[in-house]
Amino acid sequence: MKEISIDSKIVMGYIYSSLFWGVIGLLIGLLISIQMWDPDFNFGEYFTFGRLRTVHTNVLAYGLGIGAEMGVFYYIITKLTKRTLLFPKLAMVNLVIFNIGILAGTITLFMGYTQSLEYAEFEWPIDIGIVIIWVLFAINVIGTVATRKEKHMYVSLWYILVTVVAVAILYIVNNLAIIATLTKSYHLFSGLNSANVQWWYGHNAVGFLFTTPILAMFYYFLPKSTNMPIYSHRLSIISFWSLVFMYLWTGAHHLVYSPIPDWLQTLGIVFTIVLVAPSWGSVINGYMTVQPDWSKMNSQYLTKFFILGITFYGLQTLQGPSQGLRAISSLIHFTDWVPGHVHMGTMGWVVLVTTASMYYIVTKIYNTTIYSEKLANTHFWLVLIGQVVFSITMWITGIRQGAMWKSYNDDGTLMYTFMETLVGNYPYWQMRTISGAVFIVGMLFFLFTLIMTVVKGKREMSSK
Amino acid sequence: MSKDNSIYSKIIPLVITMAVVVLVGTVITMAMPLLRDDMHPKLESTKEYTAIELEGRNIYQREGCVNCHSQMVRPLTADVVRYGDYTKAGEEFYERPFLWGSKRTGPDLSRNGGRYSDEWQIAHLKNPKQFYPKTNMPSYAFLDRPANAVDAEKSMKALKYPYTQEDIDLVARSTELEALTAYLQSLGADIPDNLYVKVEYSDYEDKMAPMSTVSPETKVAFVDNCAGCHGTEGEGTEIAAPLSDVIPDPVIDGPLFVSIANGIPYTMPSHIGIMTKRRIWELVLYAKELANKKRTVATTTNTDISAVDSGINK
Ligand code: HEC
Ligand code: HEC
Ligand code: HEM
Ligand SMILES: [Fe+2]
Repeated sequence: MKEISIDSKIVMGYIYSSLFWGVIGLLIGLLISIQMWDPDFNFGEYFTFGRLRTVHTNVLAYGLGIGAEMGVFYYIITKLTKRTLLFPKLAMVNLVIFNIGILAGTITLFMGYTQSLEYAEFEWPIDIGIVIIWVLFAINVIGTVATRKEKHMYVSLWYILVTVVAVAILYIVNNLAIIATLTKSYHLFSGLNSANVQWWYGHNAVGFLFTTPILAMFYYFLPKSTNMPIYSHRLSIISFWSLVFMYLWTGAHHLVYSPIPDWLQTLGIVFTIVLVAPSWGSVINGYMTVQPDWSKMNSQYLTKFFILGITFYGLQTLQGPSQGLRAISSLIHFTDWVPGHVHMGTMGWVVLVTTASMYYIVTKIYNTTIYSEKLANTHFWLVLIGQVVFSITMWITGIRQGAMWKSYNDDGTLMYTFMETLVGNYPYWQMRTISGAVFIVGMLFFLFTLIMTVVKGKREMSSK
Repeated sequence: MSKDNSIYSKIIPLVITMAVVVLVGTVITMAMPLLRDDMHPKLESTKEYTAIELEGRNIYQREGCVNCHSQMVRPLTADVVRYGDYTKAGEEFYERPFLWGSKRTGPDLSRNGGRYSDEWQIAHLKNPKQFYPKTNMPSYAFLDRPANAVDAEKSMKALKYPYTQEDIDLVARSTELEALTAYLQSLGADIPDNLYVKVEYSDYEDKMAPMSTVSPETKVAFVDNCAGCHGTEGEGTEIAAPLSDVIPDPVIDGPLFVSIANGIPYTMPSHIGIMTKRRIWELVLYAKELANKKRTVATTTNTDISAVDSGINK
């Protein structure tokens, strides 16, 4: 009977923790989706929509997202550096601190302690915890890469390193605050600067939590699972540096038609459009990697996760820049179009790539094969259908409501009251609840398949 | 594959290079604006929040109202007609953090001050469905509890806003609903008279309605937009007295038209942005009709008003 290595235990620990938070975040997502068409599903003080929406985004971004990223990164790093983690005990301790932090953060959000800055809602004591967690993580990552046994640094490692660096800068700056009490602080920046700093942060939080980490996984696991080398190393270098350079200029596309100065908006919009190029650099690199043998889509069950994932990333990075344009922003900003966009990125790109990476990792760690390809495929299809229906219904209703908001009568008055535009959303919001439920069922298939694969692997190990 | 001494194999220079690359756009679009005058203008009328308003704002943050309500009117016709004058940079001076929001599940609130009475705000927060049966705004009845004067004072101190003991005592005497209402009533106060479309009283002073019949759509519009305060049959609610008491008899239509169109500050919201003038004239007639019916029928059985299709609100 063999035991898995300490590094593998660490990776698995982070994966389990992310799955736990994932389930909680998704169930809360389902609840708030219902609250949007039936407010009777608001319960008491702690379960009202206003508080729960924040719990939903944070539990998923931090608990599921960062948790999964830390685990998968540790895996990738040990493989690419051909060595064990520099500080395995630290990684274990960090896992504990991380879970305490997310638990405390979640409870405080339920209680309404929030900085009201999107994706930076945690109040200052939790922020300090998050920074400590991130620094400990950074020490392990940078230390292990610095002492690596393999001279060459594959592109995934750069994406990991830049994630570590950028998230630290972003998180610390946007969370600078004037402290009033243990549970209440005020943004250090006020007015226009509050908005501008927040969306510099907010846009890049998406960039460095949901784009670069997932690209790191994509560049590593796509070639691994297909056994085909990445199409162009040079293209990946160019895309990397240009993406990392440009992302930081574009936050103002969240503030189109706001009172921030026009030059700042225009600068943000221009870079937003140019951002298509480096994004599609990676998309093309992904497609061209599989180009020599598209039958892999069929013969290797993980390939489709990665290719569909990068496809949604590609769509996302075409849709995103168009949303930044003034004409389009004026129609879709403030509407459900934006959650449609968001969830193509998170439920499509992030989840497909991350879950496929986890399948790969678990089979490697336990030196086994997937418990059931059929179940993994069911997971794939349910998640795919759930996400696509979710996004499309939100785009439709976003445009629908956005257009109603700007419909005029002949005498220049508006044609619809706010309520008239709102009730039209309800059927679409009900549709979203259904598609969200389909997605969640897909994720339960994933959970089951993953855990059964571990069970299978353990059994095989002990019988050897 | 890479050369041994390329930057990609030396971790410290590589990490520093990454930080520098990340910082270029950061400095230009985020840090540099911090020092620019065009990023922190202030209107003459923009003042610090009072203690009770700040407490209300804290509650607004705590309850995540910002997840459903924007506070940023864009300089677009559709926005200003519905909500009022667009948001000026100078109004934002004391906003920590800004609360512009990114989703309008409910209407923009940046011009909400003075649109309604305090009584309406509190009744609406307690039970939004009372006014709009199909709204999805949650009930905030649980906010009917004492506000936290101790924390409010700490907040005022932290932000260095001027206050007196009386201000803090007021918070101590108030409920959270009242504090929240004080905050809502402060929204848009920096730009007095921020209605973008309105009618002039002098143009309608002595006018009578240009039609004599009320269409079924207008009756629906009354149920949807007016009944929450005036009652489905104009019988009145705790927010507004019966129409028969409010509308004098006999009456000139013009002033009623102006009241419904422009609204009455801290009493009744304006309607001119969201319905045609013709519709408002018909509502004047309908309101008079309801008032007269009440006056003549005194107390009998149900009128046939209940047959009116209540449209989206039922
Ligand atoms: C789930 C979304 C949602 C949440 C959360 C929410 N609201 Fe609303 N709110 C609405 C909708 C929809 C309307 C329009 C219908 C109505 O008046 O109920 C509205 C209307 C309002 C209005 C009247 C606006 C006008 O001009 O007619 C005010 C004031 C208001 N909300 C304040 C608040 C406050 C304060 C909070 C937090 C304590 C809050 N809302 C939380 C959805 C929401
Ligand atoms: C937020 C609650 C509210 C809403 C909504 C509302 N009203 Fe009023 N309205 C009032 C109050 C309060 C008064 C003043 C009553 C008084 O003077 O005691 C009033 C007064 C009036 C008057 C008398 C105006 C005058 O100049 O004397 C008319 C007519 C009227 N409303 C019609 C309407 C119509 C029609 C609608 C719908 C389009 C409407 N109201 C919507 C609260 C409201
Ligand atoms: C080139 C790439 C992208 C660009 C230019 C872009 C652009 C935009 C724009 C302009 C908005 C604001 C829409 C509005 O409020 O009017 C937005 C919102 C958002 N996007 Fe993207 N997007 C891109 C890729 C992505 C990806 C890959 C993800 C996630 C995986 C993502 C997640 C989000 C989220 C979460 C929001 C909502 C922000 C909020 O809370 O308001 N985006 N994006
Ligand atoms: Fe963005």
